[in-house]
Amino acid sequence: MATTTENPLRIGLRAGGAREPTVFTIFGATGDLAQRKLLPAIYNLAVRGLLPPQMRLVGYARTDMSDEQFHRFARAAIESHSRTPVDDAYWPSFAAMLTYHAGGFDDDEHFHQLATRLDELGEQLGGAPARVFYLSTPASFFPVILRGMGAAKLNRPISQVRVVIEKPFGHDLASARELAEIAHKWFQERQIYRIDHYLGKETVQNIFAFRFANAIFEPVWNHRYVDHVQLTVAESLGVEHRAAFYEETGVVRDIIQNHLLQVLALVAMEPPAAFDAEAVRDEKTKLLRAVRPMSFENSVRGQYDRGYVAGEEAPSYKDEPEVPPETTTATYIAAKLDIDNWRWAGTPFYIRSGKRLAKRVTEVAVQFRRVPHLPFAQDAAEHLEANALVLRIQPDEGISLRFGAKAPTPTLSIRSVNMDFQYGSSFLVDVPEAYETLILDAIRADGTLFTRQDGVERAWQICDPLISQWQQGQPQLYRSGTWGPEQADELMARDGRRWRQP
Amino acid sequence: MTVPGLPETVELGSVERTLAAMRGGDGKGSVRSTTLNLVVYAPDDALVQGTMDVLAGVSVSHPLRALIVTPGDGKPVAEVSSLCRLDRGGDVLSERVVIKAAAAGLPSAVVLLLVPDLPVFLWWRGDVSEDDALLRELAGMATRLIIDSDIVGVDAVERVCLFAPGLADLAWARLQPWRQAIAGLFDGRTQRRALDHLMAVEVRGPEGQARLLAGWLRSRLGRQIGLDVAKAQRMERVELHSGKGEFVVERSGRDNHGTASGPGIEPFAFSLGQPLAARMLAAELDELGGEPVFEEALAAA
Repeated sequence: MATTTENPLRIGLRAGGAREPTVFTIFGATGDLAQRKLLPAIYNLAVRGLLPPQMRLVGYARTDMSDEQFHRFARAAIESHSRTPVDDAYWPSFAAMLTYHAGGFDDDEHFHQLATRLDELGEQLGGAPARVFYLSTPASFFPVILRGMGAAKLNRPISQVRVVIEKPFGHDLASARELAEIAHKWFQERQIYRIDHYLGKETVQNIFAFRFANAIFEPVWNHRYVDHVQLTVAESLGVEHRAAFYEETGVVRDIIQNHLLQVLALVAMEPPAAFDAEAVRDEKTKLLRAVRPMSFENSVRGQYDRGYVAGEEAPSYKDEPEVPPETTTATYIAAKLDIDNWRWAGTPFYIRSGKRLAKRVTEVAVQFRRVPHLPFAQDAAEHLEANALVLRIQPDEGISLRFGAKAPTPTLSIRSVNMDFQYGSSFLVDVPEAYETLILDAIRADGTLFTRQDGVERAWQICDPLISQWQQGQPQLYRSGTWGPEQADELMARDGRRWRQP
Repeated sequence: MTVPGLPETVELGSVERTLAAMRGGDGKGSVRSTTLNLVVYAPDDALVQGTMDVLAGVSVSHPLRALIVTPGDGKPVAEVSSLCRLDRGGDVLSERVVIKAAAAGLPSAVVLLLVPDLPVFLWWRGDVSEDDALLRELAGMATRLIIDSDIVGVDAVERVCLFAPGLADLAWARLQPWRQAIAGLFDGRTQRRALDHLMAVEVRGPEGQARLLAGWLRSRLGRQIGLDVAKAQRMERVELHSGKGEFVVERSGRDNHGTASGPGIEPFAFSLGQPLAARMLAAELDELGGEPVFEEALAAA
């Protein structure tokens, strides 16, 4: 059987887009995520010529809607949220790709009807296109949708069907396994694409490039040279309108179990043999297996109190709309993680994340050990800090390296200086949104940036003990606009270290 | 927002110092990011000015040092300026140096001012002759020679293809969306089989691009494909004749868009992109080294 990879005219074409004829179905197409992220991302891929020439997008939701109404709905969503304005000249071509199918999630008949519709669309595209299903619904619908798809044989053929699932992948280890069991009843693991949009960010992917395309850092990337690593995911915003969701999740489930542990895995993993889905995910999971589960003793939880952020008065978490007054939900965590492997034994990874902190920043700071002996007079180097390498993920993406240099004074005086590299100063191009990268990868059947079930389960194993222990007691209050509760500083101080100021 | 610095005319020996002073002018210190050297040969003032206009667009995405060389009489001089792009969270700085010197002295001026260890692109905007010593010498420094066969002709490009490790043709770059659309016609299983029966191609467009397109099809499919050209200022339509039917890619009524159609597939639209010189050039600066598919197409054109 001839396949698309055998099209000789594809050889050497520069556009890195997808080409296999594809029908892309969004379950929950009228929802918030579809409006804010998915439809704009697909439009941006389309206008850049990155989607397959033969593609159909099927919006599926319970609302009754004609194709024309869905076109208007999609256009409004794209106009509101796309990084590229709608091109009136191009719009008719894009709209021609969109179609809508109304249906519920709990009736097999609706899935059979969808299957018939997809078969018709497949015929229009020359037969047997790839099928990508995006579950853009609340997680509570995942089991019933997966089951409905299975009942209608929308999970076949295995090589042509992929299903994209949004986080959360469960709310603890047991529920994650339960969800996986349901999914695996109908789909093979290789068909399942668990999306964590953090991994689609350009600067997160740059961690790969920085670590594995540069020989000079790898020899010092271990416990012999690295004193400790600090990972910070700080938000200046509060819980906003997501109080109901946040009360169910808290900072560990919202940030640590997924985003932060994924970034940690990229920073600490061994070099993969290849940049492909299995090799990369094997190494990430291997690293996560070496991370000791989080403990109550090595962590601090906090909840934001009132204060000022960027000069604006900010309410406490308890004063946010829809937050119950007796809440003990943690909006902040600081913790020490140990990695029990040859590379990192004895080098702690300190993590912190919270809402309403001093500023929005995500960074990884690799703090190197001090030199074993300073051959200078004590007063010549008293201001000298140890070397530090900071990978800034957002905002102001870039890399800083701190090293000692002689100050231009008559006497010998060594000072720390920062050499700062900003991605924006070297590559000022349109950076794709994370969802664009990940949707395109799903269409191209590249699972490298998606999480695999064993990685998800291990992340829950790391987090679950702490979540369980935090059921008791109260979080420490911290003033909005600060870097968290004082106890977080004490966590570092007892190891003779301190948090850096991002 | 793009902020051009005021140009200063200096001796060649003062260029680096002048550029350093321009960098320090923003108060951000001495760190600079530069990703490539771009040497442009522009044989007259109009081409120098045109080059500066194109560079304003290219500098948006590529922090580079541009050395625009133009032959002149008298003592060698350089007009130095910088261009800073300050929006979208970045501050990309590009440096532009217009060097006027005797033709024989231009290569030595270029050597003096290249940023070390970075790739060198030569955009040749003059006539092309394989006996041109200046072209040979400048191309010898370059990792990539950029030329435009719509201006100098396909045969001239073919003659200089061994001058530099990599050769780029802006006319070939203009064909990219057309090739993309044509390839898209044959992704399906049924249509893929039709490629085996492709016999001839009819093109309405510039003759050089038509030849390159036919050369591409011949080299990819490994056999002779007939070519019939109806000359036009820009690419308008490509019709592929196969024993399995006719496949057509053509510019649509809307600007910068086209449609592609063929037996058994839904017609689809594709973007032709903005044929801006800056965009074309920027795309070529993203590539390093040679492009075997182009070289094979050129040989078969």
